[in-house]
Amino acid sequence: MAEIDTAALKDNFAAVAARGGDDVALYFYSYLFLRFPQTRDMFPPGMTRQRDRLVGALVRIVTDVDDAGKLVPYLEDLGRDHRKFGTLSAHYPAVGEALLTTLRHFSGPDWTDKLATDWAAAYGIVAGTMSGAAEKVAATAPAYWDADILEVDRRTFDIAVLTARTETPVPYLAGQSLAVEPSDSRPREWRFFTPANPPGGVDIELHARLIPGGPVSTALVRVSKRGDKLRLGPPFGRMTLDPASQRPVLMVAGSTGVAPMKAMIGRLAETGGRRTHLYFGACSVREAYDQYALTAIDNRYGWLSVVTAISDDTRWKGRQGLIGEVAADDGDWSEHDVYVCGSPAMVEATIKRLLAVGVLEDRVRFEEFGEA
Amino acid sequence: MTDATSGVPGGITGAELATAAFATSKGFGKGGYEPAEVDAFLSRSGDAVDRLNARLAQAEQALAQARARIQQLRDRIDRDSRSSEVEQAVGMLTTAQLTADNTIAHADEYSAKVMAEARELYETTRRNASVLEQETESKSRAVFEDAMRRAEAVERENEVRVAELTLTAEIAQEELDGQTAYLRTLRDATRTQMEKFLEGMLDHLSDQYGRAHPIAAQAANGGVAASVAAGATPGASVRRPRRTQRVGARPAAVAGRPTAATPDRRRQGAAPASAKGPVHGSAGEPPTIPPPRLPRSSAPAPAGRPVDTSVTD
Repeated sequence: MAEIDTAALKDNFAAVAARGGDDVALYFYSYLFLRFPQTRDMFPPGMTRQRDRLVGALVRIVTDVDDAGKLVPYLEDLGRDHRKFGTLSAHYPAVGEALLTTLRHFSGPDWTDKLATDWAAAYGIVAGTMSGAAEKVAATAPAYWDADILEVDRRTFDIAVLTARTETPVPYLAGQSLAVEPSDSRPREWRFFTPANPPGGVDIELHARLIPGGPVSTALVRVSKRGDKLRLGPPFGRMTLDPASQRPVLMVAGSTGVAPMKAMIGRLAETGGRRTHLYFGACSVREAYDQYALTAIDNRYGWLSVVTAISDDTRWKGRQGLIGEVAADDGDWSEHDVYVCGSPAMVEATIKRLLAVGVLEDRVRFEEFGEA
Repeated sequence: MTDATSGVPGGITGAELATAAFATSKGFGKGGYEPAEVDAFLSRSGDAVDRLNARLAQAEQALAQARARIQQLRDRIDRDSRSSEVEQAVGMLTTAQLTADNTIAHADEYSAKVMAEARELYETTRRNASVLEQETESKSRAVFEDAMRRAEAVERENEVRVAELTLTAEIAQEELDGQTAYLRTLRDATRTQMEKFLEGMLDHLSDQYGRAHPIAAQAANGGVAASVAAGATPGASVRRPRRTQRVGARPAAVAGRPTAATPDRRRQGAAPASAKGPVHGSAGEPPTIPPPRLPRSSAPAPAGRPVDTSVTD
């Protein structure tokens, strides 16, 4: 990148983005689909979120353009992740042309040959990093796995537990998430879900909680039925067990955040078990949708104890309160590996509370629910 | 460097130039190069340089042509992408996409609204249900507690009543015992009095008829018997008022006895009349338990009050 004037690119991008991020993205995709109609099918019918994502990714790339240590891993992840959309190396030049045309269109008289050359060179490096990372894993891992829904167990009107079967096992680690596309009801829309069972088999248990307006969660909870197709992306996420650790485990989960915990407990059971406390929290009894299974594993594994607390339901006769506070008040967790999963607010409050009672920050791993 | 010309036919290499060797000239004896050899070499070198220059010029020309072509193509792409047709098409696609986005956004919004309403309805229903449940629970608890209180009250009352009845029974037993003792005492007293009376009569007879010879006494007894049989009525009538008087004193003593004995008597007397505890209306009335049934008209009253004391003890 030596000869690329990154400062000029940043300035140019800022000027273009100031014209309206969504307009820029609209132009970009319109030009792309006009010039390369075959790319249209890789995107969902509704493009609003997609445009947000594009702008977000561009902003991030331009922001970190001088920090290769941060940018390269991000681009490699992005490249690998794009495989599930059916992206091939051949698609990258098309995107490059659309990007440069868009930048030139919005730059107006500020556009120079030097900018054109530098943008082309910079895009070449980005595309090369992305497609290089994608090609590297292509030999060993499929771009995606197609799955059939075996069962949709609607536990409440807005929470469903789905079982899906793939032809070959998806090589995820317990605690990792998979991007899920409801191929029949909302094609090309993706959202991360975490399998609630340990890896190894072809069946995957997914816990889906409906987010009002979220296309994927709505499709999974309300629309999907036995026999529908799902497409699963490659595993993602760093909330996994530390195989070298012999420390006891504390897990704090809110609502469907219990899914990765169940997967990790299943994995722990396969390796003999470690002293584990699972704290499950929900607002109401309705959201305690998996009590039957939690009670079963609680009874089954001597090394596991499960505590359920409900924060806002008079019918509940057990522990009351927010799960992070209940867990923090319950004991000394300073020797534990700690896992937290739930809504962003729940994760933030729980970690803050746990750190205050002596949990070591570098032993905390967490995952938040995304949107859609 | 060597590579650059080595491929040129009839060319010369840098190495050849560097290592060129010529035969020494013999004509001057000073060791100079052979002029013919030098001339030939220079001529060859000149040809090589000319050829290289020509090729360089060719290459430069080709490059310029290629650059011009690139620029031409780039300008065309540029023109194409800036052309009004492209702009128009991009604009149309954009509009179509925005229309689709709006339609989908409306559908998603609608779905979100329906789900939010459903959730709210659910939560409201749940809250109402739990409030209702709580109300019902507290109501039923109140009913239950009231019933428990009442049951306890009834139980307490029953205990009191049982205690009272037990007491009543004890008192009745005591009364019975007392009456039995009274009767026993009365019997003994009567017996004593009868003995005294008979002794008195005997004394009287002795006085009347002297302490005669037993045979005289026998005779006298026979005389008395005869006189009694014949006309002793006045004597009998004289004694009877006394006995009547004495017997008449007895009921008075009996009637007075309960009040003197214990106030419980009143309750005890009232108890059988009603199961509802003490009845005050009977306060002034005589006890309903009958006094010991005695042969009142014939039994002589016991002397003084010993009977009363024996009963109350």
